[in-house]
Amino acid sequence: MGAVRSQASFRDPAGHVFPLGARVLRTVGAAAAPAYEAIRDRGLLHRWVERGWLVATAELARQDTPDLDATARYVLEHAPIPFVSYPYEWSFGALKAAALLHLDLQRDALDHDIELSDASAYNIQFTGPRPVFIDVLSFRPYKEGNYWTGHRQFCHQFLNPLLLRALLGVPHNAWYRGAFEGIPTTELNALLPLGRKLSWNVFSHVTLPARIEARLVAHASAARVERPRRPLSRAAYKGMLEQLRGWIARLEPRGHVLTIWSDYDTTHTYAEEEQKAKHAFVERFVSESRPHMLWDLGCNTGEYAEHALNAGADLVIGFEADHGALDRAFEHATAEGLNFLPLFLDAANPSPDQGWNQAERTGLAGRGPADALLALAFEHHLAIGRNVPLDMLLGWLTSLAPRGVVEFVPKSDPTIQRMLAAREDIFTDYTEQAFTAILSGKARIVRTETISGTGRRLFIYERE
Amino acid sequence: MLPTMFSGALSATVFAYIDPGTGSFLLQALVGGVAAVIVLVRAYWRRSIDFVRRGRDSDK
Repeated sequence: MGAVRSQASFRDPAGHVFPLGARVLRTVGAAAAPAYEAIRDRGLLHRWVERGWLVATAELARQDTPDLDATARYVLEHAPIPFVSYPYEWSFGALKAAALLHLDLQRDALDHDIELSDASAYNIQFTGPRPVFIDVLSFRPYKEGNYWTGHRQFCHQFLNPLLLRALLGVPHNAWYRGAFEGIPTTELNALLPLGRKLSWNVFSHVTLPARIEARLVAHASAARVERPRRPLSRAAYKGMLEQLRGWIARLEPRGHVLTIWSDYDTTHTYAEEEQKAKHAFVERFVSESRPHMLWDLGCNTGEYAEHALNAGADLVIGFEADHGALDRAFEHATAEGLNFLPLFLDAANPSPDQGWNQAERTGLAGRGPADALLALAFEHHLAIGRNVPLDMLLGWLTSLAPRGVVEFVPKSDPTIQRMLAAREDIFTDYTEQAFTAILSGKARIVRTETISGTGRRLFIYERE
Repeated sequence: MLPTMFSGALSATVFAYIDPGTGSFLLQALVGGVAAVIVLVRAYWRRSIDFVRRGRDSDK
C-alpha cells in the first residue's frame, strides 16, 4: 500500500514504524508481541496514555490494516507528533523534563513488573512543552534480579548533557549534536574540576563509572565475557532511579541566567506604543492566515509566540540561539500550558540530516515547511551579524513557509549601530529599498508597516 | 581487585546502544545498594518523625 518504513526505525528487528500519509503505524512482530501484550493487559498502556506520559496508541484490527508486514502480530496506530525534535535541539528545561519522564515511567513500570530495555532520549518527543514517550516496544517484563540495562545510555543521553550545563555552565546542544549517542561519561568526568566531584551523586554516576570503564578498556586484552555475579535487588534498582530523579529534579543551569537576549523583553529598543503596534500587526496576520503550525525564528522568551497562539495559531515552534532566552521561553510555555515548543537553533547552522545513512534524524528543512513564519527582529542577526547576503537570506526565509512576517531593521537602528561599532561597514547594499525589491522578487508583499521610530518595518509576504 | 567484566567490544566508544557491560554490573550493585539503604533510612526517619508528631498532637 505504499507505506515505506521510517528511516529512523531499524534498530529493533521486532517492530518498525511506518509513516502512512499523515498517520503513524507500528508493526509488532512475534518476538515483541509478549512484551506488548504485557503492558496492554496490565492496563499500563491505557494508564500511561491517560497520564500523557505515552503517545496515544490504538491497536488496529488486522483486517483494517494495509499489508505492511504479513508476519506482524499486531499493528498499532500512534497519534502523530506534530513536529519532530531531537535532544540536541532541546533546551535545558526540555531535556530535564524528558529525563524526569523517563525515570517516572521506569519507576511506575517497575511497580508492575515491567521495565524499559533501553534509555534512548530519541524515544521521547514533545507535544508543545510536554514530553511524551513514543517507543511502545521498549517495554519488557521485569524479572527480579535484572540489572538496569539502560543505565549507561541514560547517563550518556540524559544525565551528562544536563550536568554539562548544571555543573559547568556549558550548553549541551553543540556537543550533543555531534556526539549524537550522547555525552560519554569518561569525557564529562575529564572536564569536571575536583570541586564538582565532591558529591555522592557525581561520584556514583560520573566519576566511578568513568574510572571503571577506563580500567576495563585498559585491560582489553583480558577479554573474558562474564555474567553478573549477583542479582540486583528491586530495592537497589528503584533506589538508583529515585536517586537520579531527585538529583535531576534539582538541576538548574549554572552561571549567567541572564544572557544578552534573555531580558530582551525589558531592554529592547521599542517604546510601548511601538510594541502595541507590532503585536497588533502580528495578531492580525495570524488571525487572517490561521496557521496550524507557525515557526517563530528568533522567538526569544516567547512573547510573540504567545500572541500568535492567542490570535489563532494552533501550534508554535520557536527557534532561538540564546540559551538564557530559550530557557525562559520553555519555562514560560510550561507554566502557562502554551502549545509552544521553543528549540535551540543557530539559523546559520541549522540541524542537518544526521545519523545512519544521513537519514535517521532529519534536518530542519526536511521537517518543514511550516504553515506560517515569524521572523521578527531576526534578519539583521544573519544579514549583518553573519554576513549573509539579503538575497540568500530572504530566499531561505521564504522557503520555510508559504507566508510570513519579516521585520526589516535599518542600519541606523541602535542595535545594528552597536553591531557595527567595532566592525567595518561593508554592507553598502543593506537598505530598505534593496530589501523590499529582493523580497518582492521572492513573493508577493501583502502588507507593510513601519512600527518603530528607528525605522523598523514589518512585511507580510505570501508566495504564490 | 575489579573483576574483568568485558563484553568483547574493543573500544569504549563502541559500547553504545544497550550495552549493559562495561562494569555496569559492578557499579549498579554498589550504587544501587547504597541507594536502597538511603531510601530505607529515609522511610524510617519519616515514620519516626510522624510518630513523634502524633505523640505531641495527642498531648494537646
